[in-house]
Amino acid sequence: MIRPQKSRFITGESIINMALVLFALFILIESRDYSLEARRFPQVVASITAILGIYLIIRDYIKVKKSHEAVIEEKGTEREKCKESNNSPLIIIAVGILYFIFFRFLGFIISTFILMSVVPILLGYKNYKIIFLLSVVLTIGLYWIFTTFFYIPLPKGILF
Amino acid sequence: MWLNSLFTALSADHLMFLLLGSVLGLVIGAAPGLGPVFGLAIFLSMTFSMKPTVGLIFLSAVYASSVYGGSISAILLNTPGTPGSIATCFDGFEMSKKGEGGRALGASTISSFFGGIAGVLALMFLGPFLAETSLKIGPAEFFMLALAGLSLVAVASKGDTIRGLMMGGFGLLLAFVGRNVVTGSARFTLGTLYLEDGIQFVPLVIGIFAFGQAIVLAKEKGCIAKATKVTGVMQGVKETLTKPISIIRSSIIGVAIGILPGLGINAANFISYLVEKNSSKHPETFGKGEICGIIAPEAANNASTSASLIPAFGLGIPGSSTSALFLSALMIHGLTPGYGFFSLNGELFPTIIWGMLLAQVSFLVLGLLGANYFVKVTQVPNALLVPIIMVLSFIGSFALRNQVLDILLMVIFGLIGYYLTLYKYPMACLVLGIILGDLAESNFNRALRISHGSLKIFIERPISLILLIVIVLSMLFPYIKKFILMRIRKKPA
Repeated sequence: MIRPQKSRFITGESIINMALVLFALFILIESRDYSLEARRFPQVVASITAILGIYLIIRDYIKVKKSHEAVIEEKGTEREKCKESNNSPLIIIAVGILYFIFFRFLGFIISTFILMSVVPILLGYKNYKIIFLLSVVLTIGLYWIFTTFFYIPLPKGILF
Repeated sequence: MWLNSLFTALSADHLMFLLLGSVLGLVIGAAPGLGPVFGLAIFLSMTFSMKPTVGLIFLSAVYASSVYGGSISAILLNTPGTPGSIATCFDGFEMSKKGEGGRALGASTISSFFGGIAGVLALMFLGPFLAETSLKIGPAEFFMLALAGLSLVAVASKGDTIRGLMMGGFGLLLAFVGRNVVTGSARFTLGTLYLEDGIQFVPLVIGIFAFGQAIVLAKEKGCIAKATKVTGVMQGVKETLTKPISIIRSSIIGVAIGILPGLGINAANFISYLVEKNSSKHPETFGKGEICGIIAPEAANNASTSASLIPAFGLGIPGSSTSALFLSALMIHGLTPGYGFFSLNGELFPTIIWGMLLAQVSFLVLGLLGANYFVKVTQVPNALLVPIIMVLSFIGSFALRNQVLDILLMVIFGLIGYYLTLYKYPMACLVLGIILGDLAESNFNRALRISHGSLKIFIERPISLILLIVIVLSMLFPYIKKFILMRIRKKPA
């Protein structure tokens, strides 16, 4: 089925290319006040990267425009597939950010135990016994190995 | 003297610490983020009370095994255990997905062994000579070497050169963030103290490859290898033995890169992979589970480990963090590095050499015996594997500097890595830019300072000129080859 799309010419690639061009422009603008030695290399590389990025945006736009009917169909099915598949990438990123926020506060043991127990369930794993055992063994095992043998001071958190 | 040293190296205390070092090195190497630098830094203090030979052999075993250990997680989980095994992921993980993890591990173990032996032999025979020669290499030559590495971007770009160049540019721009080595000024730090040290390489690599892979596995569900039957480790060993040219070529590249200060195992691993791909008759098979894509990077990174000790032992100049740690170990034990180190310390140097050779044998045996067990990781459901990779990524990013912000940096690059992989951007080019960016820029500026701003320095110095000619010829070679082939085809007609 062909689905109507809001922005038929904006693809994932063009968003990445635009982001890279913006990053290169940021480097160009930011480096204006630096000394010659400090700005020479970054300015040359940023200019080339920005030009290549703009070229790729135009190339992709022309390619999509030329065959946009086919592309719309393809993207439509791709999007359907994505919808059907899952939102696991978002889960993993969200868990990663939450872990960063609570790591120092809750400490390694509690935050890792929560992560090890919650992520498999969110990813659809149903054997709770294994999840619990793995969470306990790995959390304590990793803490013991890294603090005792590798002398890494993992945060203890407020409860310990 | 060499025979007596062999008996010393084979004595019980030496062997015990050799084995301990190998096991610890394997664990450290396989865990993402905990590379050889970390291993040597941690265990250096343990060697204070040991005899010099025992201490140095123990550290050699940790070093060699951790570099090899990085390939285990690279092959089985697409998560490089050390930055020196990034290129091993490209074909190693593809083989694991096909249920050929055992074959890949066999190839990686035996090629790491041969590479390691080549490195030790280079240290033994060429050490004094090469230590002297490496002094003749200045900023102009280093810039040309970095340029030669960057010229490989086109090879690494998987057919879309423009995209490859843009990713290389992105990598270079990331490398510019932080305090400039030559001028000392802070650049692109957004006013934060955290970015003054630059974007940390270890969290970045863990993010792009390990955390990014955790996202991919979470999305795919199931388990990595669908095949229930795992192919044999010995098959990989046998196949590797039929590729002596690849082993020799990559070992030479590894030794050469190891001797040059500042390049390290990550550059050796990467550059040898690209050279192997470029010289292959079937470059299109690379990245799809080609065994030479494992042999080359693994032989090279292990060859560069011992070779990187040549300037440290011979001149007292550490070219990398790992050789600096070895140098500290020498000095702690009251030994003086320098030209005389190779000949004046009696049995010490031969004993260390024997110890290093035995360290290669030790990880070879452990690797081959353990490979069948390691490979079972690919049968674990992704839902259980993902949180384990995530936790190891968090610890790996945090461990080196005890900075919680490194965890956030890793997550951000995980997201970037995931989307770049999803849209098939060549990650090899990005990493190449990051590895060589600082080296290229700092040596370019140093060279211009020496020449008072004249670009002539790059063509006046003979080694620099030769390197420049090689770069130009290697870039023109495909077109020259095409032109000659066209002429040959036209002639009979």
